[in-house]
Amino acid sequence: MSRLLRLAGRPAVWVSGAFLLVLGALPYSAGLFGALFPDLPRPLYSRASFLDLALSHAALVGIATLVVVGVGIGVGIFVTRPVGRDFAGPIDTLTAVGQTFPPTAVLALAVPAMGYGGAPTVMALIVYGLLPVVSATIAGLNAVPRAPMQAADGIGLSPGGRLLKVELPLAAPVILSGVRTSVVLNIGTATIGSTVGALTLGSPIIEGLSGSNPAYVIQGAVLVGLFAVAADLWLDELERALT
Amino acid sequence: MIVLDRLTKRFGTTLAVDNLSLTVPNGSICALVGASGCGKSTTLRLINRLSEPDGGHVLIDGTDAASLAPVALRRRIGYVIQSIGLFPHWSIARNIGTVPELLGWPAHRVAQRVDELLDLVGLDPARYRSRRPHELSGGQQQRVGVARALAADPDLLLMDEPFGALDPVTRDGLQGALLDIQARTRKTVVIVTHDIDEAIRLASLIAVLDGGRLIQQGSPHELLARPANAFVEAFVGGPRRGLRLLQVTPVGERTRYGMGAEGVPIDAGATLDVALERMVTGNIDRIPVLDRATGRSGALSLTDIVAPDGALR
Ligand SMILES: Nc1ncnc2c1ncn2[C@@H]1O[C@H](COP(=O)(O)OP(=O)(O)OP(=O)(O)O)[C@@H](O)[C@H]1O
Ligand SMILES: [Mg+2]
Repeated sequence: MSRLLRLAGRPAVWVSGAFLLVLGALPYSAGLFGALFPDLPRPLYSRASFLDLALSHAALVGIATLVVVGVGIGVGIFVTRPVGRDFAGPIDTLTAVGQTFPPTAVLALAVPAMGYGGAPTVMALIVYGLLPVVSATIAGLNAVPRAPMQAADGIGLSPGGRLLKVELPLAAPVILSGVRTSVVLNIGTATIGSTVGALTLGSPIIEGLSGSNPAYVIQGAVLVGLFAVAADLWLDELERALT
Repeated sequence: MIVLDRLTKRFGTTLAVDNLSLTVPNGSICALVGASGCGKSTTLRLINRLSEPDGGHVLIDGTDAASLAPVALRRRIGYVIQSIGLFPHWSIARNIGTVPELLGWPAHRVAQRVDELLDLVGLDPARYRSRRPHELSGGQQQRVGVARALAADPDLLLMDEPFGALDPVTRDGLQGALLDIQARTRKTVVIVTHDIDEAIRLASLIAVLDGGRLIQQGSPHELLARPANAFVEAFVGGPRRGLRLLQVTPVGERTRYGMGAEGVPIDAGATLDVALERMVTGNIDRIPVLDRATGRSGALSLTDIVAPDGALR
């Protein structure tokens, strides 16, 4: 109970509350945006409901994050094991290239192969989100102090046991900070998925930009911003709980 | 029994262990002593295969350690590492109970064993079992490290400076506890120490290393009475060699049986330093001796403390 109360004072709770409030109130804000932008014939985005946009946006980022976490942590573990050590350099380069590659370019390349919609978007998010998780996993595992590692070996933990019981728990806060970076980055990046027909909170932004409708841009941007900040704060809470 | 047979370990151009042969009989305590960097920790790590030798063999009860699965081998060897290495994210109880848990002991037995060991190393179980390592002092952490090594009651114990961070009183208590355990359960122990008095007290066999080589091995008495060279003499004896020799010589060896003296008799199995202490504090130059095993009695006088034939022995 006292835990819940303490949580109620957290910024994460406030920002998520604000996000939900805005999401719930937007459908009734035609009057407000009409007053703000009197020249616009349709001041409120209406091609899809904001709730649908938010759910679809969250699903795309969620699916990408699951893959990114699985693959990213897996790769990070692999290159820090004796068998994978030789791959550390190439993998590092590869993930770095993945990040410098503009996500729009990934979309452009993925669409011919995967068609329009969510699939190429998820693809782009995976490529783009991998680097922070891979490098955080490597950094976290490499930073585990030597003494407990030696003790783990010395008292007879198997290599797998040592990884699961000692290394990963001790590296968890650093790994999680990488996941956090990746998620926040991808909540923003997912908006460009709307250029290839995915339903995201970027849809009003893209349409607003191409149709000179600043009201749409504001509606999309406020939701994306609150979503990203809320996710960031929640993952920060989780990170703190782990340390 | 642990047999090290011409063991060699190289790190780049450093010979950390150089053609080392040593036999530690079952139920005995062997102390490895020597200057920093002489290969003591490396030798321990070769025994439980944390490190693989570049030459030679480790035989454990006659079996080449190289033919045993490392993980299973280590679970039956208690190991106290030099840097303590408690798991920082686990409670003290879980730290100590790790190996029993790995060996599949039921939870209540693990919990009972943990409390038993906390008591043994002088930490109140109720107060310490659920703490995290960072909530303990360095010396307390070290004691938890010793408890962890003893947890599954292994026959073999490797201890790398296990009492280095302890105050003299606690250290004395734990040395006594180790001797008790060893006397009761006949463990085979290899202990690394920088404290020569600790080696003298605990070990029946002391091995002096220098630059990875075994310079001399023998009982504490042998090393003190007949050091192989100036290095050993300085290392094990130093300016206190004569006094340490008293610590390892039983009163019975110098007793004149049949003679009498006034006062409470000293046991023939006690060492000469205790007898000397009694004489100095009692302001007497002669004390009665009783050999409890045979019932014989006699006396020891101050001059008997000096070896009769003039040789150091
Ligand atoms: N993993 C390693 N890589 C390279 N050199 C090492 C390694 N481990 C030990 N050495 C070297 O081997 C030699 C013996 O080291 P070891 O740790 O066995 O010494 P020690 O006798 O335990 O010393 P101390 O009393 O300081 O603990 C030293 O010269 C050390 O620098
Ligand atoms: Mg050492």
